[in-house]
Amino acid sequence: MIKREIRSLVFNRLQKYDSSATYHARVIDAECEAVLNQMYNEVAAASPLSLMRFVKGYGYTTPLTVLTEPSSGIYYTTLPENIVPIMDKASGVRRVAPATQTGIKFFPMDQREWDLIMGGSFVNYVKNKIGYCVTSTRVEYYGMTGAIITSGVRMDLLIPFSEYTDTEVILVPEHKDGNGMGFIDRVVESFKDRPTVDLTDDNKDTE
Amino acid sequence: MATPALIDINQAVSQYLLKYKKSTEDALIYTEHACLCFQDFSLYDGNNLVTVKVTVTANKWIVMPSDMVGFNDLMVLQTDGSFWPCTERDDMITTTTTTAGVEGRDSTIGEGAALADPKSSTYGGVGGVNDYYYKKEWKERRIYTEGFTTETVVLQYTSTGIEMSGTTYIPTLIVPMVDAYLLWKESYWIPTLFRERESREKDYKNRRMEARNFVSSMSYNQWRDLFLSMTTQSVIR
Repeated sequence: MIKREIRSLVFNRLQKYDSSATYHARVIDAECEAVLNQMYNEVAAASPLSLMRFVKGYGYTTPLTVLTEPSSGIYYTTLPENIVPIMDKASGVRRVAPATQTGIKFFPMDQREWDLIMGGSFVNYVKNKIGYCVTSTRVEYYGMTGAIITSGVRMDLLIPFSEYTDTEVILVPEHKDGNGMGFIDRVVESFKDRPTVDLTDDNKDTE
Repeated sequence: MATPALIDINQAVSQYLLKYKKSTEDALIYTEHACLCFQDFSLYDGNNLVTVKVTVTANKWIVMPSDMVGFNDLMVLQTDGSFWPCTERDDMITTTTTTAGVEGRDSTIGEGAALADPKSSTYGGVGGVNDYYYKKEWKERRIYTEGFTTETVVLQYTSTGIEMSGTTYIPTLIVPMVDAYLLWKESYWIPTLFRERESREKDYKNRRMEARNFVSSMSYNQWRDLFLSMTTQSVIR
């Protein structure tokens, strides 16, 4: 479903408190985002590999730029969108790859591993992998090569509901919780016993 | 270069992640463990000696290669195409003298001086002795030498197998052993695998023995040569 269909479906499933009361789209979106983030993390807990089915690709037509931070010498790419934080090292950056198909692989790592590897390890000698470390605003690289700095990278990101446009298809996990409730059910449930804020009889989305 | 018999150790780890449906989450940790597994194989089971030409310095020592963990032999090159093995002498002086900040040998106190051969031309000689000697100093990572007429000799040693620069290749025959090792070691950081640790260790040991037996087993011709070398040829009528 596209984003506005999801919003409309939720809106139509909500209990009406009077003939004119309305729920603001922003509130519905926020609830959708909260539930969706939770469900992505449920998928991650059950099968991390399955999260690739819900990602959105960036840098496929125009590669994302690899930059250098002069003060620290760290290579990084600024995240093109906000991401959904996931409990593993890759977080919402489920895959990083060279702009073009090559044999070079990127693997997620955390800051602690970064320090330990740099401090001396066999991996430091034998790896042909590039480690990537996800922070809140950027992706940092360990072992970056000159060729990839030149060509750039692409990423598959797990982005929150709010980052999608109204006409974009949002892939929602289809699993249900222990009470048999899927995504829409859970969003609607979150509005249960919570009357709409704006009861003014003017039929407007804005207060 | 990768061949049907050799594989990049990174590729072995990637194949492991593929075969066992692992995420790339811990790929670098798996790579570190794969290196340790290969090191164990190289040291204890692989029978994989490295033979290199090394230079004897003017101070009569050889610097051990960075990947050398075990010593096998030090040999002199002979023009007849064969090696002549050197003899270890524990009584060789291995101290050095630093003069004006330069490390060297002071022959006036015996450092680097020619060793006397314990042989006699009189009655009761003890048999053959060598002219080429060495003594290992692991802490300094040097091999002190004496008696060489050339500055290039051949060192045969056991390596970790890990290349400090360049690609580290492992024999494909040990890939199942590396897989079993990784499956065993991951039980140390994946809490749910705690109960499987023992059985996985057993799997690894089985795989290790397979590889060890394969590497160490002798062919028919090798056995034949061994038996023939222990027999004396008789007159053919």
